[in-house]
Amino acid sequence: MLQEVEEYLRHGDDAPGLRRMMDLAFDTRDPEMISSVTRFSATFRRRIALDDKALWGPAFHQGAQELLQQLAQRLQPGSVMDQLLLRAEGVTKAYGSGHFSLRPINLDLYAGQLIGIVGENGNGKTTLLRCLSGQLALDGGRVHFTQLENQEFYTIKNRVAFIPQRIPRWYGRLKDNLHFSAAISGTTGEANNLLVDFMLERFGLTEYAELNWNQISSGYRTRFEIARILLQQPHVLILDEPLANLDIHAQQTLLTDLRFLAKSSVHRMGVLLTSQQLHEVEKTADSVMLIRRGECVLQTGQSDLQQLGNALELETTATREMLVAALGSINVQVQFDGGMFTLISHTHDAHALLQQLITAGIRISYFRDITTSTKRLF
Amino acid sequence: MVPAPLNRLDQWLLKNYPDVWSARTHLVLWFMLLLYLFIATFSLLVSDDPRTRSEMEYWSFAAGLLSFVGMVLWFIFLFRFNVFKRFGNLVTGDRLRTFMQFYITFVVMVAIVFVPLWVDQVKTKIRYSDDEIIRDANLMNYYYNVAERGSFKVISDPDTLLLSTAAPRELRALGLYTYYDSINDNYYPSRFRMLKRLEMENQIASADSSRKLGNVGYIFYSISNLVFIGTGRADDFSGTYIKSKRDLYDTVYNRAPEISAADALQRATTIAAKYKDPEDNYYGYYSEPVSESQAAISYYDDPQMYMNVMHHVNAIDSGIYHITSRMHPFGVSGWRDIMLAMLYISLGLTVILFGFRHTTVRTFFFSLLAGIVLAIVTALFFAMLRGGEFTAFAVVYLLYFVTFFALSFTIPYSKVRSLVKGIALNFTMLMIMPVPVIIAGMYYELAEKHYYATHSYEEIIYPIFPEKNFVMGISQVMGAVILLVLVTFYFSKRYKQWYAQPEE
Repeated sequence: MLQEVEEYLRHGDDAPGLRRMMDLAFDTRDPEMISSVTRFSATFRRRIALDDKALWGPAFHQGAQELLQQLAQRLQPGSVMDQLLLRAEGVTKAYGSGHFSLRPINLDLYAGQLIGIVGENGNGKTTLLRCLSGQLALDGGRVHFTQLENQEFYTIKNRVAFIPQRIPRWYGRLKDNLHFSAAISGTTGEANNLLVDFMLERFGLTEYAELNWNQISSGYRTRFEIARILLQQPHVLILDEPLANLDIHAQQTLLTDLRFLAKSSVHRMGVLLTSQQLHEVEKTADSVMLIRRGECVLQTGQSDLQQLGNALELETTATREMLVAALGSINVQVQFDGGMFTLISHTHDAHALLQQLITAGIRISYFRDITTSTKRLF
Repeated sequence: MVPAPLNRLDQWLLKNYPDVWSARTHLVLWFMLLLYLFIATFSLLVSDDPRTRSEMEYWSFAAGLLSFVGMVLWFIFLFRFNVFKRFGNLVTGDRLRTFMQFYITFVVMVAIVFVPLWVDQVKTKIRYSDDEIIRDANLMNYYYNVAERGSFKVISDPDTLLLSTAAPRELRALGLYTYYDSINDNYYPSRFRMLKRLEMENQIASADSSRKLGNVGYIFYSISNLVFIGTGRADDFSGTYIKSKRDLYDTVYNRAPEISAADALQRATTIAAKYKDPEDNYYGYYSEPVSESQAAISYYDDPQMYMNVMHHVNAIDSGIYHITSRMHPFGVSGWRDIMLAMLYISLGLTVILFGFRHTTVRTFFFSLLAGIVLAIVTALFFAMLRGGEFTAFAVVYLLYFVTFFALSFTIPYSKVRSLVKGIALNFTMLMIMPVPVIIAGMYYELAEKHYYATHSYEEIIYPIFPEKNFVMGISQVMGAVILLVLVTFYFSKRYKQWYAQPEE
């Protein structure tokens, strides 16, 4: 963990390094450590935003090293045993209108695990999330939260956080809402102040703390909602299209943050999210489920996409004929969706195909090995 | 407008007791305190002669409107944060505390309408006292009677009431037998009229003056009205009493007065200035005093009217009434009744708000709609049956209550959040408090019916059930206690179960 942060810092990735350092400080549950790292972040955040290393470089790295030393002394090894948090068995749901139904879906979610649920619009992703979070009654099957002694819905909803795509409007100052969320989950007094300041800093919301709903952008609302939910320390975090309102950079940051937070050494969470950003989700998630017409047609790690052959997605100025010619004797199926080519081969992997094309002088502006990606099934 | 210490308290509550904080009671109480001070100061400074009719009702109305605006603003703030609807940590007793917070807030908001009346009361009590008013009224009545002795006709007629159980010998000894019935060989009083017991008791209670004839009966005196100036509501709050017609008759007309008519009039006029309502221009059909000769001719047989046209005593009487009305705006039992009504109104509002805070908006408004529909259906039912008895109403009420209670009881067994059960839960909470009173009322109505059916007219002894008022009072208290106990141990749990259940 610490080496990961050092790696970031060594290569000048200060912003993610700082965020990761904050997560580690949070894992210590040491108020002094959390307070130190919050102050440290507040000092350098503005300077980092200016993107002028001359302003913060040496002082930042010296301070970061000191904090890392303190973290090294205080971090306790976390549990490596990831507990099962949620087990869904044969979950089905049909709406009254009868034109859509969720087929029996099984799902296990472990502490520290991030599962992405992908699929086209109107295929049942949100319905599944709402069923799992207790928002919608099931027609069949069961959802069991294995770590909860009391399976009453109030208790479940106390520990399972659901963030809908359209974030419900909140009122009053952003900071008051965070204090409130922390307090209703039992974080009171000075600890409340400490954690709220930490979350504001961690999600880059400090400058917006005094603002209200109308004064912040939709992207910041998403960040705020996640900070708010995290203050309630849920066991399971369920997010419906959290990337919808974010720019590409923020999407990546959020996904990485969620992954870090889920894998906290002290408070491991299970995270379930839906998204249309297939590439980003696949990069970050431990497992991806593809839902089509209410049915789980694939879950990575459980389904073998390799048997469909190796697949390479690429973008190039070359024509289909030029690609076929460049690949020569290799038995390849070349598909074109109007924007990108997909090359499928049972004999050569993506690396070999790419090498062959480059050797043949084909100019490639984008490529991706989608052999194990759910994108193949879209 | 919020002082720094209150802001600190607000932040402290937010971070330590979010459930208490979210009810915003502390802020509402602060703003209500400011409103109380504003209304009180305004009521204190407003120029208002206590001898004239009080205008404070208008200020009370204005205060009520301001409070209502505050109530709406409070509701808006209540929308913002709700621990319950965010599935926050709640423990036993939290809901009761929230309920009491709402209740206290409503009481403070509703009670503001009394502030102008309280201020007026204090202002008036500084200038006048009940004992002083009664003393002055007695003096004025005495002096005016002395001043006008002989100006109008004064009568004093005795009327005798004999008890039928009195022994004939005693009656004969008092010389009350004037008629001998030879057929029955018995003596009877000359004027004989049968009175019902209640009528007799009323006559004794309302007699201007009376004399008891041993165990035989009473003599009542019917005297011309010589009490020209009353004491308004002061009589009920003082150890001294207004002198009766009989007292005045004895002291002014049965013996020679102690002072001259001129002196008496001067003294009466001096005292009257303290009380005369300056806005009262009524001189008994005239708008100004009339001549003594004209009054003597027109009102010789009517002392009250004579005094009105001669001395404008009705303005004094009216002034005293206004003063004592300000001192005691709701009379003897009025405050208690008004306070009780205020507490009940606040309690009803609290139950409605509590329901709103613990159900969905849809369920809440459907509950209101269902309440209206149910009331209409019930009224039609009674209208068709032509039934007006309390017992019939009680049976229907209890039937509704039991149905709603049973429905609310099944909430834990539902798989989905049911609109009908949500409405039933709201109604159970709204209807629980009057249940003990309704049961007690029904019991007494049935028991009284049975009593009347099994007793002859002569056997009936009032009150039939002496403990009835006490039991009804206890039933009211019991209703409130049961509501609070169920809020703690039943409703809080049911609302949690119901609200958290998934949608269909």
